[in-house]
Amino acid sequence: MLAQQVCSLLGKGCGSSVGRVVRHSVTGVRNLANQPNPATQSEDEPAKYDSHEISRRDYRFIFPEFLPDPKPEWRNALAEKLVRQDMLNRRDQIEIPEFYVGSSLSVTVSDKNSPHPNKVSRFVGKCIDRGGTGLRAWFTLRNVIEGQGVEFMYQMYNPTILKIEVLRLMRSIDEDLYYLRDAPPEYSTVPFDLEAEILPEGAPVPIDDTVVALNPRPWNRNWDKHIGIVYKGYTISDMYPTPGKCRRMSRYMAENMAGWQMQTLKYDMMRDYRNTIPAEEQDAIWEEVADKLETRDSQMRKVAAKRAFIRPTKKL
Amino acid sequence: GPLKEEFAPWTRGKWEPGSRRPGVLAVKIGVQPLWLKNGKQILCTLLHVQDNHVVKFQTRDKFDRGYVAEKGNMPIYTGVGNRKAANLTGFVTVGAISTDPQKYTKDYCGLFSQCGLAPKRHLARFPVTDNGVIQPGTPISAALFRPGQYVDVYGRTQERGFQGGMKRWGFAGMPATHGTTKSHRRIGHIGSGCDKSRVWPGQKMPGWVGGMYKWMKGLRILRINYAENVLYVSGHAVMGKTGDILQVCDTKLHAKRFENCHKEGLTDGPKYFPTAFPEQLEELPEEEYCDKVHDFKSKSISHV
Repeated sequence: MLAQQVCSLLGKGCGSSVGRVVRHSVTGVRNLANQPNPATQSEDEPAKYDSHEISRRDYRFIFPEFLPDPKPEWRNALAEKLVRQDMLNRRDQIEIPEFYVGSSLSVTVSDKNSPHPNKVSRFVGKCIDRGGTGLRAWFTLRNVIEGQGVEFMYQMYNPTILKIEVLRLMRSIDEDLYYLRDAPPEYSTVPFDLEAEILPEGAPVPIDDTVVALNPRPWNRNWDKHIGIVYKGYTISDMYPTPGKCRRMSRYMAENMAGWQMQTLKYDMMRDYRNTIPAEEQDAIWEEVADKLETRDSQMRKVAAKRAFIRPTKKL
Repeated sequence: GPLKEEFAPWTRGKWEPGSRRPGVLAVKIGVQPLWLKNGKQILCTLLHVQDNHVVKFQTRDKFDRGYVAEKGNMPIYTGVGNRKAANLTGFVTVGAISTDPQKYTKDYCGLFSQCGLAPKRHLARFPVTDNGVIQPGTPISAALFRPGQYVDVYGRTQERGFQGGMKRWGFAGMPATHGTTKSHRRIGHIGSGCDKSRVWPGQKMPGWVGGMYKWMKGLRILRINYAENVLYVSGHAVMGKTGDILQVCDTKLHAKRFENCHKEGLTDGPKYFPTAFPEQLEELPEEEYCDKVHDFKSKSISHV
């Protein structure tokens, strides 16, 4: 039960300073709109999806930047409290919506060099990664424009951002999508004139389970070493084009070598523990900020309800 | 009857160019970004002014005949025969973070009980001019400072252990390839044989790095939170780790003193001199920003 509790408390925002956050801990698919409360639900009982109820503990997925960096040398209660106040004040000025890696977003930024008379520039793209804690929270959008792959990293609380709009809210099965750089461009392309889609009230966040066929080598990273262990969203047509590659792979995965170590990370409970904010502290944080976030959220829902339409089943 | 002279409150000075007043002892609690009104991001360090009180005031003559005044040990601002900074009349000791008297000797506690304070964990001494003197027992807060002013920060740097020439002195090292034999990060040449036929004293060599007390000068205060007594000081490289204690005082740099900051609009001096006294604290807002810094409560920055 303890492993279950520890794994379920890990959110994306934790451990961004201590290398990459542990990939395997976000086990499987999460239905955030109808997440059963871990405190009241037992392991064997099936999850109930009758009502739209998000437990406050699920805010660690929706607002991961509110949780502080778990590195103990940098923790300070007063500093974190002041940062959260600043974040809430900023959220009063602009809607920073719920989004996940895999969602398509549009960001409008005020740019003094823009040719537009309003001095704004707009970028649309697919979120391939998000991270940072507090006011340093960031996310990266990727798009392919006229054959050229373009990525923009935005700071979520930067006051020059005028509007963040989620065009397609969905969640990918991987924690980041850097492999799209070595995939055919159609998987990264998001049309600039894409209309925003508002999901109906109570609907779960859709999972984008497209499996990408990677381009042939050369790649930006050794995607053959991560497949299945870290990333589940791509396939490789020719894993071992040469006998040398086959030998190197078996050496990489041999006992105590780097690939073997990577596979053991999912059993490392102490690593999970170090990269997680304890449940009591998380509850105290949500106690502090959730009222204001929920008020803002309900205001957003009222606006969204007027513009809602049901998404067609055919994928773009 | 009338108050005895020794219990009467001390007179409070008025600011004039060239004044010096005590600073504060602050704890470094973190680093966070702020944004300027032109859209530029600036990292700033949060310094928490925690439970500061003035502990003592000592006139200059106490140091003129002491060990400190002996030749070779004179600090530049005091001592017989060294009349630099002649306008400094004495030293104010400030203490921070009250603790349990049981942890300290009676002598140490006696320093504080004279002005009715609990013993403090940290002490710092600041040279002051006559108008900058504050009565012992007065609490000091972040309101002593003014947003937009420049400060100097003094503290102990992080320990880095025994380090080589490249990290300690910024030596260039030697090439990684092209035949270099076992000398990639070594210090190399340390002296010629001709002149002195020995290595000169002071030759830069590997050794202990960090753990030294250093000044960082001319840092700007971007924002002050009066409710929580937190200073937002520009720069993320303020010395020490989170939780370390630092001394913060008005800057000594000539170009950044109040009277010389015409562009910043600080020529009329600090708002509260020598410090914000308890009755003045009630009129303060919750927080105040420097005029160039974007307030998160205000609208998004637009370049129209």
